[in-house]
Order: sequence, then C-alpha cells, then structure tokens
Amino acid sequence: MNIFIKGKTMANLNIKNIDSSKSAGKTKTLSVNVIKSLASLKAISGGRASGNYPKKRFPTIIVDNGI
Amino acid sequence: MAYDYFGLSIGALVIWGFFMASLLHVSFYILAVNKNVQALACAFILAASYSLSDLTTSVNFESIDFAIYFVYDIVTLAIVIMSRHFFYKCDSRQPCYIYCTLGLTINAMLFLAMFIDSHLLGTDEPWALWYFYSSMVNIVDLVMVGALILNRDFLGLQLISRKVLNIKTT
Repeated sequence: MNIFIKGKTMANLNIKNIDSSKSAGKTKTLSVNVIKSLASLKAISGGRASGNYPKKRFPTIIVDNGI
Repeated sequence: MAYDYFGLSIGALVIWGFFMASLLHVSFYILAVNKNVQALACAFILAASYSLSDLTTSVNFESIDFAIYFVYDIVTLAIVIMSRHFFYKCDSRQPCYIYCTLGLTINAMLFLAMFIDSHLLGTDEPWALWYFYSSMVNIVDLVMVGALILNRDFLGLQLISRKVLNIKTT
C-alpha cells in the first residue's frame, strides 16, 4: 500500500511484511487507524454559536491500495 | 474555540435557548399572559436562523464557513428589522430587540474579520483575533438568549443607547 501526500509517495507499506498468517486482519486495521488519526485532526464545526475555528490545514491524504 | 467539544456544547445550548425562548413567548401569547410580539418574533427568527445555519454547513470546519455565517447573520438582522417594520412599527423598542440586533451586528463583524483573516489572508495559526472571536461569539450568543428569555436591559445597553441618542439630538 502506498500513501501519497500532495502527489508524493510518503510511505510504502508492504502488505507481505506486515501481514502474517496468525493475524490476517492486521493490515486493514493499521490502514484504518492511519486515516482515522489524520481525520481527527480536522476541526469540528459545532455550528455558528460554537466559536470554533478551523485548525491548521493538513495536506490531502490519498491512500492507494495498489489495486 | 480552543476546545472543540466545549464549543459544540455551547452551540447546542445556544440553539436550545433560542427554542426555549420562542416556546416561552408562544405559550405566553396563547395563554394571554403577555402578548409580546416583538420578543416572540425575535426568538422565532433567531431559532430558525441558527438551526438552518447548522443544518446547511458541514461538520468539518473550513474557513469559507465564516462567509456563510456572515451572510446568515446579515440576512437574520435584516429579517428582524423588517419584522419590526411590518408587525410592530408603532411599539417602542424592547430590550430583546436591541440586544438581538446589536448581538447579530457584533457576530457579523466577527465572522467577517475571521473570514478575511483566515480565508483571504490565509492565516492558519490561531492568534489574538481568533481567541477574541471565540470568546465574544459565545458571550454575545448567551447574552442574546438571556435577553430573549428575560426581556430585561440587564447590561444597561438600552439605557446607554437612549442617553447617546439624547445627547445627539440636544
């Protein structure tokens, strides 16, 4: 799996190296965690009366599963 | 807001407050306890406006949202002023009307300042203006809720505005 940030390959995750026969779903869990942790950095709107503001902008993350 | 989830709670509390205020004035009107059309109209317009703005904006906060909120505040302000013109033009201005128009004007200015700073100028790090905006929006909204429920000049703004107008006319 390749992770692209602004069109550049930032990380290569080889499924064969991570995945093992004992825990088959491990790769999937890892990729979900990566996306979830980056998404949580975005500011929650909370509406007009919340007084929230956008947090520091993060680059667009494109996850390529190599399909 | 420095703490997003606290902002969420305050935002929900403010909308709940507007709905409670409109419900209160509707029940007062139906039961003929106090037929205050001015307070009823202000509470209903603000409740509708704040609910609609929350429904139409996305969960993830973007800097362009400040422009949308600014437009919402201006339109709401125009509707509040127009409702006075059409329904209760002859009545004297009540505290809730003055507090709502003033509150919406302050909020609109804050949203415009934030839009210019974060979207047009591209600032992405919070600074004094952002913290000021965060605190002021919450304070102003809570003051508006209080003014709509109590309909009292608890900050003395009506008194000050009358004195200022008297000085200008004399």
